[in-house]
Amino acid sequence: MDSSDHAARARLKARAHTAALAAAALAGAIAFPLLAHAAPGAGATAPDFALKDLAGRNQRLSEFRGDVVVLTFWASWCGPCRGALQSVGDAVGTATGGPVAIGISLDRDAVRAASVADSLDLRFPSLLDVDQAVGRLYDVQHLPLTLLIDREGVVRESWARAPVPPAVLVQTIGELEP
Amino acid sequence: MVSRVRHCWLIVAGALLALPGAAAVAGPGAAGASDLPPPAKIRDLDYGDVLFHFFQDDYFAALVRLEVASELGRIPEHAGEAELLAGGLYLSLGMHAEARRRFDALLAGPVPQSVSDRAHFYLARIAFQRGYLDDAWRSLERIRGTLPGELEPERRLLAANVLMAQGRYREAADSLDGWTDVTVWSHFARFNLGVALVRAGDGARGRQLLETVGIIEARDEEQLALRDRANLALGFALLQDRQAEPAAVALSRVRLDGPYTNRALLGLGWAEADAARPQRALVPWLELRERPIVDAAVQESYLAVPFAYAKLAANGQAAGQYRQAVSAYAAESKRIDESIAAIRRGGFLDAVLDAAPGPAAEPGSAGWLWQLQRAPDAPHTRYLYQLLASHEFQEGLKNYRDLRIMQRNLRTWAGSLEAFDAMTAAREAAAATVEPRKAEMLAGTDLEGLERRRGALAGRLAEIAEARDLAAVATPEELAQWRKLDELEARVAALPPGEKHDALAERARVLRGILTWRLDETYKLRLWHLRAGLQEADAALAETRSRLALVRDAGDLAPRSTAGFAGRVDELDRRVSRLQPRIDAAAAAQEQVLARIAVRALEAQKARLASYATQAQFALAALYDGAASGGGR
Amino acid sequence: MKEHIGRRLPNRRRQLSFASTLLLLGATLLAARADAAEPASELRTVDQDVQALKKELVDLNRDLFRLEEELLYPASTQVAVFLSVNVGTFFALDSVQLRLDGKEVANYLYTEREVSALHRGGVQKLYLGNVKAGDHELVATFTGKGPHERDYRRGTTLRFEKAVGAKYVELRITDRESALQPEFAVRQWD
Repeated sequence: MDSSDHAARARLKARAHTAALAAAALAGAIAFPLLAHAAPGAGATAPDFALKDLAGRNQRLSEFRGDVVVLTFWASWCGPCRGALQSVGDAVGTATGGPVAIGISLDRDAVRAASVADSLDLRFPSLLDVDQAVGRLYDVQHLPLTLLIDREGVVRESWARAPVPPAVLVQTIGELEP
Repeated sequence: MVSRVRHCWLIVAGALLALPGAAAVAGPGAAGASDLPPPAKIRDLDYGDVLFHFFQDDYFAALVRLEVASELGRIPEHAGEAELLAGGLYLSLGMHAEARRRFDALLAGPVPQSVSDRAHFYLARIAFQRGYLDDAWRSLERIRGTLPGELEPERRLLAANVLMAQGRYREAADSLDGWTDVTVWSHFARFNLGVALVRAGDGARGRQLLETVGIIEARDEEQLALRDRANLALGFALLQDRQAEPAAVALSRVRLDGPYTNRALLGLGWAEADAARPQRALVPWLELRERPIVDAAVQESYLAVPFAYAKLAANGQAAGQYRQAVSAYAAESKRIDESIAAIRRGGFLDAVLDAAPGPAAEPGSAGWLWQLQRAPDAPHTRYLYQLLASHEFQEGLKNYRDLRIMQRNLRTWAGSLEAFDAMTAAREAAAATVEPRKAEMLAGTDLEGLERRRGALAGRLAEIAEARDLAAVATPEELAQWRKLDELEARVAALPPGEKHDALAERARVLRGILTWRLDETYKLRLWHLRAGLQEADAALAETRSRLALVRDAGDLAPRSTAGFAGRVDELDRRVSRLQPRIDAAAAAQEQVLARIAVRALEAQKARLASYATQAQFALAALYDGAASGGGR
Repeated sequence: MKEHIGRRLPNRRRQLSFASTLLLLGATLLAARADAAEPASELRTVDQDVQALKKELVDLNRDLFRLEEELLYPASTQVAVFLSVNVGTFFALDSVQLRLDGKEVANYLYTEREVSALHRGGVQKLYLGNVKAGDHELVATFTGKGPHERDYRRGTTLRFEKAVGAKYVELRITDRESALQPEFAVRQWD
């Protein structure tokens, strides 16, 4: 086998592997080791995960299928994140159709994350990603990161680095096609 | 005049009591998890896997896994239950025809009564929903025992509904007599019967039943809504019977903030007006008029209010309000035109689905019986609340939503199939390079020859051991020496007797002795070494044998299996490609059908507004006439 | 919070006859019903189409599911680990971790919905993977809260031999009569 064959086989293998991951993720019950990969862009299914919330309850993203989900990654050491969380809270309160907001804190210190969440008086759950496994899964490069996920679990929009103005978020939610 | 009033009341009452026939369906999912008996021993893990998804209301995932497991024979211990579950899942997912086929097939064979009872129940429900009352009754009669959990009260409700639909009110009433529980099912039964009796002319009994439902202790939203409905129906039935006071009492029980409030406010006003208290009638009517004019009751209040004012001889105000009504109706009519235009442009179903509340807002909305309760207030969707009250429209909407989900499902699988295609191609390529090497290896290994030689060696060894054949275990040097010794002894034998002969013979004897002794000493050792060598050879031979077998087997399997996969991948890809456009077409067709229904309903609303406007004009004219001819009535 | 209609009015006025009724009520004669004229047959046709399409989709998904499993996890190398719960009192399972031949292959957090499904008799397919023929070691650990908020953490090790057919392992969380504590019990099938 010459080198071009090797390369071709390697490419095929890589494609097969990634796509097989997607297929397995869809198949649901087939557990497949999740590798960190590129941030899900618009049109991609949001990778599923489970994390503990501040009350110690496990929450799984896929259980929110059927609802519009606004997912916001934040951390206590990120200033603009507080504004982002509040914007999201405001937007979700006014948008029609009952979207669900979820925050994910990348703080390694759960206590600090909890106290920040408390101080912001957030009306939506915050999940603790102490190992930053989900942060890696979503390839979070800049905080805050807000993702708009439609009722079938597909990422439709994302905003990074700065808070989303509530009006924009509300409008985008309103424009979603199922 | 009086009779016309009564006639009109009948119409109002009729319109309000025009409840969908299948009023009975309450609660989540058709194949609710309450259907299953408490966890029996799970004997097949794959069936447990199905249940794990089912209990989380993930019906599609459960069904796919169930079909896979059934097909592969992985769930033999749960055969009957599995078929029943499959039927229930098909039902939950809106595939009534398939569900019916499954239940029929199930009943064709021997099944335990608990299974057949439930199958008959589901068949009865399907038949009823499609309007086949006799079939429904027949199926119900074949239920022998008590159904588990929530199914039993649902069965009783279904039986009552069937009887009512057949006009057998007495039997329906009798069936409700012994039913004293406080489940929502029994309440629904009484409500339905109450309405049916009122319609059939037995107002007294009907109202009595409605009264019992109107005062239930409601524990959740569903029961609250039912209570409101009962009070509303009761109120209008009483109005129909000219019993204004009791009507007011009943209508007052309706919540101020619910789906039936507006009609209740309207009716309350009429109760007061009927009791000749127009001043009091104004209270609910004025409240009503402040509400969004999309609602029919609100539209009517625009006429009711000036009617009351006219009754109070405040003709100037009445006239002003009639004019206000006319312009309000015109504005609303224009908005309807805009909505109709928006619907005709397309995309309105998406707007409805998008803005409807999801499961977080309304628990239990999984599966086929997801009920849209509220339409959002947007240009496309302003009037859809009334439409959404229609069973047929809801079913169509659910179809549309399901079709979109199906599109996504196929898109995802199409992507996976690309990956599978690449995988099988890679495997075939790998197998193709490995094949020639394997063949070579197989050809170059003469296993039989090796075994023959080994056998011969073993035999020889046994002989040697048997005969203590020292010469056989000797080394080549020793053999040479032994032979030399033989030659020496031969020479000695050839010599004439004498000193030379004796000396040589003695030497030969000593040498022979030494050699023999040495061989003897080392015989055991050497035999052991030989045997050990043979054992090693045996082990190596065995391993070679098994490796060759594996290679041969793998060689047999691999080309067959990869070729099989490639073919399957291709076939599935074709099926996916053929199904996708059909789903797209069905979604488009469904959207068109629903759009037509919506436009028709909106046009009907325009017609109503037009007639109201006409009424207002007439009333206005009458007022002017009255004023012109001097004095009120 | 559920206010009711029917507030009392202050004044009473003289009785007025309910004469001219207001053709208003006549107007309700024209109130059209929502689902009037769309030919029921057209709706039914679309509905039948949709049902048929759904059925095809289910069949297709079934066949795709099978293909995927055979392709990615052929029986010769397949090992499947299931989790079931059979306890008398409620045990809130929090997480389960699996290590196969020293490598972590699963670390699952359980939500309330999943715990409830397990308690009702559902069995979770926790892990599906591939291993070579021969001996392997599976280490499973679970954590959770029992009644009275007591925390539990238990582990178990299973050595198994992978032969030609798919290997099923059932991890069963059960409470022994005597200890009334949740423990692992393990069963395996070839």
